[in-house]
Amino acid sequence: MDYDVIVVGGGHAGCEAALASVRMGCSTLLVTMSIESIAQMSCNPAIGGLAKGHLVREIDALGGEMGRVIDQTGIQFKMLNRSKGPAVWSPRAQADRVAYRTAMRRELERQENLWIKQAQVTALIVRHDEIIGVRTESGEEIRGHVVILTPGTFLNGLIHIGMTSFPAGRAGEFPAIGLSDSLRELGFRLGRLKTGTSPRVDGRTVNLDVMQPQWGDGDPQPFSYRTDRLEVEQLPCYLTRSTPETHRIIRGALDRSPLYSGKIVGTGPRYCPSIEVKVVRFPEKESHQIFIEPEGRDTTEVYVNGLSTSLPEDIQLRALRTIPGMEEAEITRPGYAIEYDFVLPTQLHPWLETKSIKNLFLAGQINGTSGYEEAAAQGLMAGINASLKVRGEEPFVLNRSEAYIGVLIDDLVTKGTEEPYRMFTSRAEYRLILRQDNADLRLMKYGHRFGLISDEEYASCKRKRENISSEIALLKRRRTNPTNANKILIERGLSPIKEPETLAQLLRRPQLRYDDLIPLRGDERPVDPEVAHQVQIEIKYEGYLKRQLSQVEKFKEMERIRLPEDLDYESMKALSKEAREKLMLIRPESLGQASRIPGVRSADLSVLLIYLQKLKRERNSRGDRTRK
Amino acid sequence: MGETIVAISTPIGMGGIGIVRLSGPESIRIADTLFVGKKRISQLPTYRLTYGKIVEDGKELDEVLISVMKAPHSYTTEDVVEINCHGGLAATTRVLEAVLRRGARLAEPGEFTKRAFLGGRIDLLQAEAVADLVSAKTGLGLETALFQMRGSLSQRINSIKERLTRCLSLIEVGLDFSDEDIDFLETEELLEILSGILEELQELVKSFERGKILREGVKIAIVGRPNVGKSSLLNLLLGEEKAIVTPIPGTTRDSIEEWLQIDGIPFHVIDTAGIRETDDLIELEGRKRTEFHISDAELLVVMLDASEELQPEDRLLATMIKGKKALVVLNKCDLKKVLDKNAVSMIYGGSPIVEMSALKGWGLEEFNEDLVSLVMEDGQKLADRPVITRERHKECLQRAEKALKEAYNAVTSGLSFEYPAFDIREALGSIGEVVGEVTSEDILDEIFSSFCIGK
Repeated sequence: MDYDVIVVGGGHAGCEAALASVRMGCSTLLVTMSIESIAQMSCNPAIGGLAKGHLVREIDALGGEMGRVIDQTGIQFKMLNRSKGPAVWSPRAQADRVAYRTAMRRELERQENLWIKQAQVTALIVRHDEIIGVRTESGEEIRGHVVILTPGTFLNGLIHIGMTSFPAGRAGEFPAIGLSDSLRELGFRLGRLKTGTSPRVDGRTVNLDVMQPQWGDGDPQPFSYRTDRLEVEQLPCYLTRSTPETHRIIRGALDRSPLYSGKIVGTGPRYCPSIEVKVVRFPEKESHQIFIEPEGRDTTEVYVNGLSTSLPEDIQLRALRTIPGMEEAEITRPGYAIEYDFVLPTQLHPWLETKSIKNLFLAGQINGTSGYEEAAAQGLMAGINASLKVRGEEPFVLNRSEAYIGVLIDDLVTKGTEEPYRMFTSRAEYRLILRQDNADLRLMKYGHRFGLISDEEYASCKRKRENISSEIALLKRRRTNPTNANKILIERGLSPIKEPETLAQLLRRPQLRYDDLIPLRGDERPVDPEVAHQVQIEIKYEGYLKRQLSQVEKFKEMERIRLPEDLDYESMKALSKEAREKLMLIRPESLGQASRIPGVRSADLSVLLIYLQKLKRERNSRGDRTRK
Repeated sequence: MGETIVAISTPIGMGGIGIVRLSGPESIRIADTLFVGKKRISQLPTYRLTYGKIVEDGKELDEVLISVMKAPHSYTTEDVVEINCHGGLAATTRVLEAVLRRGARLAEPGEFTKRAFLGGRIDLLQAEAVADLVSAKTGLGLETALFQMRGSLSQRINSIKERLTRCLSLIEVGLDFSDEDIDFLETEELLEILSGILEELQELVKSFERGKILREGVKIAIVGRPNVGKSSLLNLLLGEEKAIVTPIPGTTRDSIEEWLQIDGIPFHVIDTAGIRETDDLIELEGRKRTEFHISDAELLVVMLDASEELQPEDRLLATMIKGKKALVVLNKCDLKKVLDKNAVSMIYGGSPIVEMSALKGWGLEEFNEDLVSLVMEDGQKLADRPVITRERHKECLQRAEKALKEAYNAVTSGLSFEYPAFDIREALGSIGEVVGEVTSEDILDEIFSSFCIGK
């Protein structure tokens, strides 16, 4: 049969892509090399984290699955950066690795029109620059209207452990061979990246008593807006540290490190260096943090976070055993580095379809990202856009002022990447308004429009929004007299007021919280804590939020100026050479996107603007003539 | 386009007259809030010069001639108001600043032309020329001194930019990598860094005033009794230096003002010759005028006739210029030298003396050197001292300064660091308009190169 959408790969990108596509009414096939490995976490068993937590919340608000699955299968939940302002709070959870996989697979299998098939796709079938299906290892051809590739680290994957290397997509799994060549034959430019993971250890051989337990939050917050509350017995992680002896052993083995002997050519992530890189680059540091993370509830195996390495296994063991509490550790699986091919993402439209081959979409690590959350976000967006394509509708693009997902994809397609790309809050210029606490208010309308968020869920989101504005209005309106207010102020050691003030004015004091003002608020129906949280942020940081919003307005003005796809950059002699080349390569959608291309300066933008006006005038005068 | 833009549309530093040109929907309204004349600008007929004053908060900024060109019959096809300032460049700048305060935005280079093109006023060929101009680095090929100075200025601004980038990366590392095992920035440290940068920034903003020399020129008056060769000297100066701007009648009725450039420094020369030829120096009226010129000029060129003995008038002049910077010229050195140089340096104590013949063109080089070193007293070349000369740069740096103050306040009031980070980004954005943008990738580079990040 012909499918509307074929998703190649069953990782975090593939799962979200397939679910979005089938939920939007497309018959969908998910082809994976190993059904058991669907939704596998290749690296540490955790979801979320700084900026990544934002992504998961956004995925959820758009109707994606990651948040709901981690809510079901998390074994420890923590809101990071709680001591800082709300914009940089970010949720993180330890996952039960097996349970996560199982829950995601269950969700896939619940979908009526979603088919799962185990096979290796080795080639893409393309006719007239349009994809029409895929060919598997066995020679079978599967036809589909749209194809989404999410092969992760599997494209020509090559694992390194010490001086040994072997082709693999992940430890214990075959690599995807053939697909890279097929992409190259189609004219795509590919690069090579590297990432790595830590050894895992038999928990029975670890002495946790000498380590520092790390607990989750007492009031765990769910990731999903659609999870009412988390009822979960949380497990701790444990903190220990590497020692000078650990570092000595590592330094002594650099001649057997594939990283330092030049065997590895792919670029690794700077934010996630292996222990050998940390030891070499920061020799003054005598010790690094090591976190012992449970792999799940039903196993004693633990993940040694902080010890990502591609050193030989004997060195891994010797180094491990110099760490307090790990003296008798037994490795269950060694750490390793993996090199893999990726497609330079500047070859994509912002809706993740390739520019050169129609109906072919790419998502996840194939686009140069790293991380489950980054992958899932792209998978979801590719799934939505694939379905829109099938329906013949306009593509869906989130801009940088709407979502971290917008920042992520815009960065990829505009600037490309030279290392595995990870999200950071500092990448989001509109960070103050892109918070994990308001992803629903920002994005649920889209999820609802695509049928990924139910009417009921959306109605409750709208209600929340209304409650927030009416509560803000109330606090701005309601004045309190000094007698009542000063009771509260003096109790907290704050300077009293002399004249009546509005509750909003009081709330702007850094030391006061919404809850403190409840006695002054009057008899109106109390609002729920989520609404109160939004109200507090909106009022306390009103000045900053306003300034941020006016930046967004300027940004949008630039985004609104569209650049036609066939714009003849070559003939624009007034452009700088670098700008001309970059513009021809990337073909930005808007003047705003053009402005973010490295090498395009403001003078180049003026030139573009002038040409645009010229085009417009020519078109207008041509229009005049035809009318005559 | 929407916004109303404004700029001085005569080259800065040259010419005694300045035109402040506004274009955009608010031009007429903005100009009306400043113009005091017989009629309101909105009631003026298009294309007619009208006399009036520019007054801000009760303070008269300049006497002006104003004209309005209503849309679409103007260069830009928008409402355009041109204010012809008469009080020299200082006044022109004051008027410009007043207009900016009323809500107009400083025009980008080439923006009037761009609007003209967008309005269909000029054709593509002309517009492309503008586009080329816009993308050219030095714009109109400004004077060497200005150009050199921009080098050291951008060095200075770049250093501020680097320090801010570093500061931001210190903040960001605490936000994006707070779970890492590294030392994070403390409140006190951040305040210290910020106040250091603020101080430097404020000094730069102030240097805009110091840059007055370059924007407005140095006013010099050539003084001396009749027939010592003042006009010849002026002709020599103008003849050698091609950078002449048309002489215009100045505010002092009977003298001639000329603009010329030496070593990139604009000089505003008042030739008092016109009146001296007929007036007797001893005469009260003549003496009053001379006194005026002497007090008004920043630098005097005192001319003596080397072929004659010192005259009483020369001695009187010496007492009149006491306390002023002066260059003494012994002219007519092509003739038989009678004047005793020692006697001259006795009565004109301290002032450098240069021997020349204005008629034959002798000694011009020495004259120029002495003149420039008198302006640059401390022996420093103008180029060594970063000075802001452009209104736009000053505006950007002022915006940066404002944002940094916000950052400082945010930190002292105990806000989490992503708020001052927002302000610092804004400051970097403004500075980036002068010396190039800082991207989030730059911040991350800075973080990864200085901190051990990653589990």
